[in-house]
Amino acid sequence: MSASAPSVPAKGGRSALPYLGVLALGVALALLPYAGPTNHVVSLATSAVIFAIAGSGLGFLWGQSGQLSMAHAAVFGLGGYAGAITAKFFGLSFLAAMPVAVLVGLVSGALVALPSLRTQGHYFVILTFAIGEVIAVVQRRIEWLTGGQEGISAQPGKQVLLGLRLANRGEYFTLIVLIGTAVLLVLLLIMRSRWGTTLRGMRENAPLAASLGVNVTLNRIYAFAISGAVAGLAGHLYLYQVRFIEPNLFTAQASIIFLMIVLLGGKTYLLGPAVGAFLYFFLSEFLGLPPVWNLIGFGVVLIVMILVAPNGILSIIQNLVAPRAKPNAGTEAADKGQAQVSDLPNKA
Amino acid sequence: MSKLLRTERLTKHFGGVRALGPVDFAIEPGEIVGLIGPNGSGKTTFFNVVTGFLKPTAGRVFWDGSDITTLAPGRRAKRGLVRTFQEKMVFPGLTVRENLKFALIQHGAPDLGEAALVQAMDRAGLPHHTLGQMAGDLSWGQCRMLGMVLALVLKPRLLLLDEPFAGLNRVIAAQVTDMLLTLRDEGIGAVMVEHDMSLLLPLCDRVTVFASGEILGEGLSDEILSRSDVRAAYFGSDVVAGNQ
Repeated sequence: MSASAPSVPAKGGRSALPYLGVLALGVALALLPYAGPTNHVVSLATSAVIFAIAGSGLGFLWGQSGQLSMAHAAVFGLGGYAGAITAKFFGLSFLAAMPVAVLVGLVSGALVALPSLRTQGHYFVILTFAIGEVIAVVQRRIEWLTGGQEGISAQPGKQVLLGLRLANRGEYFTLIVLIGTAVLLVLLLIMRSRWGTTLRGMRENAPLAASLGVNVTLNRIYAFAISGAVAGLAGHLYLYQVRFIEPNLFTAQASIIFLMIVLLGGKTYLLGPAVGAFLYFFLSEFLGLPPVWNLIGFGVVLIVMILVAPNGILSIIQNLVAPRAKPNAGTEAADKGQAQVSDLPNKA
Repeated sequence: MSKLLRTERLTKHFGGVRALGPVDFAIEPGEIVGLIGPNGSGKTTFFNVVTGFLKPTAGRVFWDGSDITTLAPGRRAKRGLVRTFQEKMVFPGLTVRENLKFALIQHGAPDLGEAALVQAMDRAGLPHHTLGQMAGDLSWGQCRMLGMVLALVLKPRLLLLDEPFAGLNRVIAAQVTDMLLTLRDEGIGAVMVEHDMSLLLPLCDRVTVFASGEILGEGLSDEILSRSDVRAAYFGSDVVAGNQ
């Protein structure tokens, strides 16, 4: 399946196959609870799906537009708070609060992008880190709204959506897989659109993109807004999984986990964050190591991944299945003696 | 004839250092002008300020009579003022096909099909089999040609070319020369920064010499290069004295 945006096929770029592939995977995963897993496995898988959705938002931002945000967990948390606060103060249901969480994520995501008007590169990443911390502090301080350190709880009660009960762990898993599948389909649609090509161009060479007519700043803000909307939605889904929300859940440490799962799976692949999230949650369970050793283990895995396969596990699989074509011999002969762009120190 | 691009006392300071200006420059439609001068003389800064990548400290830029001094680079490109880069000339992690699609999208082309892509490839003399290749895997010469095509897809009225012949062998340099002459016949002009005089001078209608951020002289290539102050600024006063 061509879920990797950079390798959209030559012909049939509008092929429905990738969409059908994502849909088939989503439906297959949604049926997991009906295979009789333990509650613990369902709980882990639910966390993995929610982190996969949030990670997809970060993967879209980082992999497609080339911008990394360390405030992603804070935006994820704001989505959760939006659901909890609207439920507590206005009695909004899970479904009614969902667009509010998405909107809060969208707007806060766009606001996180504003410093990019003046900063770039590492400085910008550091700024997003600071913004995330500020949001966490604010969440603690405005106790009348957020409950401060004690947080807010949200109970699914007897709510039912698409015939699935939110209070039932297995049915809630099926519901969020269906929502996650819809999110991935929308992201795939964007990645394969004209705007998707524009974003990847900006990622590769922003000055050239600007010289060819792109408003780089505005498009970056849009990309942050989309990423934020996905994070906000995931935060809302997380709220109804843990049924409680408090600011310590959304500090920079959570952003590092998002970064890790995106890197692990592959940031330029639609399914990369999902692969990374399932590995993150299930590998540690499978190995059965104490939490500290888990963190150390993932740190080592991350270092190895960055050194060996910086484009994630899916890039290894892609290279095994369809190795990247080498430059044609005739082409090399025509320009014999000339360096390739990728060999140059100032590579774009 | 009316001026297509005109700058009025264009100046750029970096902190306390004056990198450019004041520069008064103008070019007519279809004209090819060479910008020469020693390294650090302000040529690239001039490009960056004219195309909107740097804000001028003072002065104005006029395009077809309109003041575009505060316009973003992308908006200038859409009006036909398009630049190329010396090194960052393509999107290396995208295929050649995606590179071309990118430019066609920015031009608002309704058709991104193979026919449109092949037409663009033919214009640059790029072999069709490279369409699926990563642009970063192309040879330097092919990259240069692809970079030119990306700019041409936007249907520019004036190209600002930063060292278009740098690193090219004679065969591809001749291809670039042919392309520029064809473009001139089509009414598309160019301002070129280039150090290789043997390639630059035959192409240019006139030459502008930069030194210490200012225009030292302008005129026909033979005239301007015979001036002792220009030779001193470009080749160094010792060399000029030694030749006399």
